[in-house]
Amino acid sequence: MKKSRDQAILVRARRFESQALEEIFDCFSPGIYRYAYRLLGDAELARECMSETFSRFLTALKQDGGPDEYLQAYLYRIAHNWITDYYRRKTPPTLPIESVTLSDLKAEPHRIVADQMSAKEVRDALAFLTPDQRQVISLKYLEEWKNDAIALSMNKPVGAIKALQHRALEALYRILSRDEDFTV
Amino acid sequence: MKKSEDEFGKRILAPLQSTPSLDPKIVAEEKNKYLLQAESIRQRFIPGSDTEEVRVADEVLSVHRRKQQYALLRGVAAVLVALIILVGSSLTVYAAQDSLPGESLYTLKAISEDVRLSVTHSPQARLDITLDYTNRRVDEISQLLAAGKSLPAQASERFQGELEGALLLASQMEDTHIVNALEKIKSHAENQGMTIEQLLNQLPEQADPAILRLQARLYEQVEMSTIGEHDPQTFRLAMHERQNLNSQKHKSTPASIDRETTPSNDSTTPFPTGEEENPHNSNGHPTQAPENEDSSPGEGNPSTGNGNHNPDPSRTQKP
Repeated sequence: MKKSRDQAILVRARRFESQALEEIFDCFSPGIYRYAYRLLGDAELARECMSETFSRFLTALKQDGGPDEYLQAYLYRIAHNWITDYYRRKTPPTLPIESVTLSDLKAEPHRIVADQMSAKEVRDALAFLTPDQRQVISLKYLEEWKNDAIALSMNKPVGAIKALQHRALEALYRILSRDEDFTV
Repeated sequence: MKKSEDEFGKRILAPLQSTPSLDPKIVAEEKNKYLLQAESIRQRFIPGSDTEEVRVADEVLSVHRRKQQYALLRGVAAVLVALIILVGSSLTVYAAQDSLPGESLYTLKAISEDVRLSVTHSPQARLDITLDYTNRRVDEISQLLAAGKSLPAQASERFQGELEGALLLASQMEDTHIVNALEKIKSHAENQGMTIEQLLNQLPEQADPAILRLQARLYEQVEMSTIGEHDPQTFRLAMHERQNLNSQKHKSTPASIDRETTPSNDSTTPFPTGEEENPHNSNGHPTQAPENEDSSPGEGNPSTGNGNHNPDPSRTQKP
């Protein structure tokens, strides 16, 4: 959504107009879910994160809070905070083979398992980053956001985003280089 | 940002790019939950939605009213309880005022009279109250005799105690007041004597010794008052001697006899006696019943009835 469109729909959302709220959910829920899944690696947790993100959004509107613009950035920030809290609460468990999600049914089983294993290693590596570093590179390379959008989302200048991105990649490189099975 | 960094970033995070699509049923379920939450908030908190403001205001008012009503109810309940106790007690005491000696409420009547007298400090007022009580006793005697009942010792004792108390009060007054006080006493005693005489004339068969003794006591009251009117000092000395005599009489009288002639502490005259002031006998020993060192003074030996059948003159008995 563009800034002006965000503002318009947020005005209606603040009046709790069902149509506006429905539009927001339809527009952003898939992205929030994806974002959560990529970082959490668990469908149920991702669903919980998505549900909680929209619930907190409604609560913020009720309390005259919430964004005046940049709705997407606001929602992702909620999701990111939820994920960060989850990381703090609990170390992500080792992914059991039976819980492997077959995201690509046409792929060979060994390829799927290998992908899942790699995904887990990357997630474990992300867990070692600071929340800001994790958010920056997630938005940048997973959600493919521009730096200025990330800067808006994180309430930081673009320069700070670039610095965070740089340090995050360096850290990831160091972490994953220790893993012999992972090709950096 | 270097291009190689971007490529590295994309490559390193590539394993996370693949995500399962969310089940449409789950999406619909989450959406419904979200919209229901929104609707709930809209109904409860959004101004102008339905009658939310009115409802919230009503709730606040309702709570406030409930608090006020509760406080009011508590206050009313407390007042009601107090009223019930007060009115109930007052009614009972009021009802007791019509009771006669020997009836269950008479004790309450006696207590209420004693309390009233004990909270009155002015000698004049105490005298007036005492004289009023003597009138009550005469009324009680009249009603008892009219009903064909005999006069209980309790009523007789109380009446005599009040007559004596009136004289004692007068004797403690200054010369300027003593004459007026004695005039009142005399007047009351004369009227009461006449009332008793009329009763005896109307009901000669009721003329038991107790009534006759009361009549004689009323004559004595008039006589003592007359002496005091003319010579207050002599009257005071006479009263002093009477008090001493009564005190000695009580000390030396066995309880079985004493109970018939002298008022008991709980039902008769509120005026103190010498014995009450000094619980020890003339020998300096505590008053005790014979053959029972453990018993309370004056209680007697329970193994021999009331313990008063064989009084020991050397040991005083409490009446």
